[in-house]
Amino acid sequence: MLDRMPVKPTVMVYYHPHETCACKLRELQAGLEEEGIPAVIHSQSDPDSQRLGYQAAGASHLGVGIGVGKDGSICIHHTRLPEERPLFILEGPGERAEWRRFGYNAARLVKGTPFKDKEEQPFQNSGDDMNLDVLKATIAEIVKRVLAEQSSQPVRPADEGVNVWSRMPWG
Amino acid sequence: MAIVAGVDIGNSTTEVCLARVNARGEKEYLSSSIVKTTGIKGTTANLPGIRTALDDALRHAGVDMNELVQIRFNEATPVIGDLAMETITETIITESTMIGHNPGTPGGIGLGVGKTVTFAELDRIQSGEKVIVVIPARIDFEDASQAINWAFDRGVDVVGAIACQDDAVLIANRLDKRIPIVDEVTFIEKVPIGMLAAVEVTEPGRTIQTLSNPYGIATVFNLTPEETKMVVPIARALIGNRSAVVVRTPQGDVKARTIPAGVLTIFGQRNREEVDVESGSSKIMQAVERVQPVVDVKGEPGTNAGGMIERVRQVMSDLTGQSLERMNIQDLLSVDTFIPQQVRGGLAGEFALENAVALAAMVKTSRLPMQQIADQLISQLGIPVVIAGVEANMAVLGALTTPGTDKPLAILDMGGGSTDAAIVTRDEKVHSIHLAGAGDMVTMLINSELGLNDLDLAEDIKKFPLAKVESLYHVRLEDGTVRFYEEHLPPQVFARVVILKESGMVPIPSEYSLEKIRHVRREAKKKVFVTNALRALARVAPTGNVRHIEFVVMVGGSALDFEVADMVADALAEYGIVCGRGNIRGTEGPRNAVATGLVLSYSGGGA
Repeated sequence: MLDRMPVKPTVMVYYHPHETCACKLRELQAGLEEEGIPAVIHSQSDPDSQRLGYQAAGASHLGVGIGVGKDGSICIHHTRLPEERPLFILEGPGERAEWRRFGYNAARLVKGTPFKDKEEQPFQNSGDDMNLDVLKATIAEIVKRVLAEQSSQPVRPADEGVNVWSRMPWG
Repeated sequence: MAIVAGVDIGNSTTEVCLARVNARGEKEYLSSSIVKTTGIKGTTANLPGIRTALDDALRHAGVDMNELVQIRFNEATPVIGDLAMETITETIITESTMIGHNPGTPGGIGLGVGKTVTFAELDRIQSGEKVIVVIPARIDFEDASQAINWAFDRGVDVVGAIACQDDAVLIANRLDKRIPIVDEVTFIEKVPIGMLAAVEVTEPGRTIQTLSNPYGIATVFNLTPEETKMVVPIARALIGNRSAVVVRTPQGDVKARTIPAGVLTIFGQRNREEVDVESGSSKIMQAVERVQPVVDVKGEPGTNAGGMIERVRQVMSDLTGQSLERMNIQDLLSVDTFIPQQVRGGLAGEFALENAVALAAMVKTSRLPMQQIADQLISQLGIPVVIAGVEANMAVLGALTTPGTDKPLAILDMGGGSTDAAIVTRDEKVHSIHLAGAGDMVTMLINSELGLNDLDLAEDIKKFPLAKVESLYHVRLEDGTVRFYEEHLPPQVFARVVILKESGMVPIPSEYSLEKIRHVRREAKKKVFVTNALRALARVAPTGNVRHIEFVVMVGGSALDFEVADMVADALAEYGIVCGRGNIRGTEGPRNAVATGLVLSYSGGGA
């Protein structure tokens, strides 16, 4: 027992090296730093973000890991979640604000504060060092999302039964 | 053998009690039902609701509509209530002078006082100058921190920063000196440039000390006593924050304006009382008690009070289709409250707590057209429909089926729109009264005090207990117990205060803590129901003394609430009264009292 090394508790970030990963790692780290949570970054050979995230969560003393896959997807995982059900997953390349948000939210998972929503943060891209491919992918992603939103019907559980309290007089 | 149905049309629900009555007049209860009232109580719009409620009850009992020999309505009490709320103070910032919002993660620590400069002009600032740099959106944190470090090197005294994006910590971590940085300022372009400003950030877990204190602001800006008076609302709005910015602009000025609230005139049968709304709700209620019984209430024209009372009368006149002059307010419940309102002229959507008065008013209308409803139902169903009795008498009859009760008995009917009380003496005399203010007013108070702007959510907060989601797998309930879940909870509820509904968890989209929300909820219920329970019982008590009532049975929708009945019982315990939630027929809980009373009053025959 005496030989156990004192390990600093950190969020683990496992990534598969690819073209835009430096930019993603910077934003992830910035998000974690802003929230005051330390992170350690390791390069891995596994290309799948979900597996990477799960492994990272297992390795983290805080139980929180981030995986950045070969395809550019990002995944936040918690060690107590089943591997196939990550907490958050960003399919496709995404954009800076989203990468930063993943950093914030991984930190917030550790801190136990509510997650940041997409709308909450009006965040502008600096634009200058964004290459064209990222831009194209971003547009494609938005188009895909809009299409998905159009096809899916809003499902709202109907509040059946009697409201035992009275209606408000103004409706 | 005859089957009869008692139908009670209430403000919020329509209830049915179905029973078989044998030749000796003994009743065998078959079923009961409850549906939402359709339309305004006492109008023919109620018919669809009545039909559904009847069908439900018949289906449960396995009885056909044709087997009914009589449907019994109650003579609904012709009172309706309405609510109004008016702020009596308002904070306005002309020429934005403060940023009082509370970003989650401000950067650095300390208090900095200097002139505001834009980020772009930072490299033109002379050395030795004390400045606060305003960093717009789109500036990367590395660029921002580098520029500030260069300014430090040139001898510029950068004492603080205001940033648009959420990166105060990132910037602060990269600076050579520790300066306070406030971030997430949405309307960064509105920050006045070239003005003296102060930025304050404290350690996590502490609150700012200088900018939340009027003398602190006076110290940093060298204010005169007159000017110090003007900054009181700024200081007040900043109390409890971890970070803040105050900018001094030459014409800038924050006003805590008191809106002339006006005078209410309460007319009694013999005398009248005038009371200023500003003097608060306890003074208003004292005046109401002094002139009992109230015959009308008027507000001073051209003031908020006047407008508020006029609106109430107008709404009720529209609802009942009776003329405005005949809308006489018979009771008033006034409650002090506060409303978090967005400060006009604030830079980051700051809120200030404004004082407000909430009023519930009760209007007695002429008899509701129950006979019309009855006639239409007869023509639809071909079954005799009888208007059988006064609501209060029926409710008392029904309440007496609660095991363990005896005459003299008082009932406290806590509904949505009004709190009613009735008492039955040993010689069967029933005396009843109706007071303004009940469940709807509680909803309104919760909605406004938490700044929700969502009455459905306020309604849910009123009806269900709270919990705090502490991890992906467990929540802590408001009594401190912990509940674990097999499946992980959705991220939307993580770390949030949620309402535990039967259908699942509803996150409350606000920054308020569970304790705060619980406090607001419980206070709203106490302010309305405990106050009204005591008022109501004092009025029906034979001697005017609550102590002379032995049994009190609580019925009505709000008696079902998970804490209202306990609060009222608690408050009445000191008067030595047996008080509890009714249990109609030993099975129905506090529901179905009037419908049951209608069946009980059936004596056979056609009457």
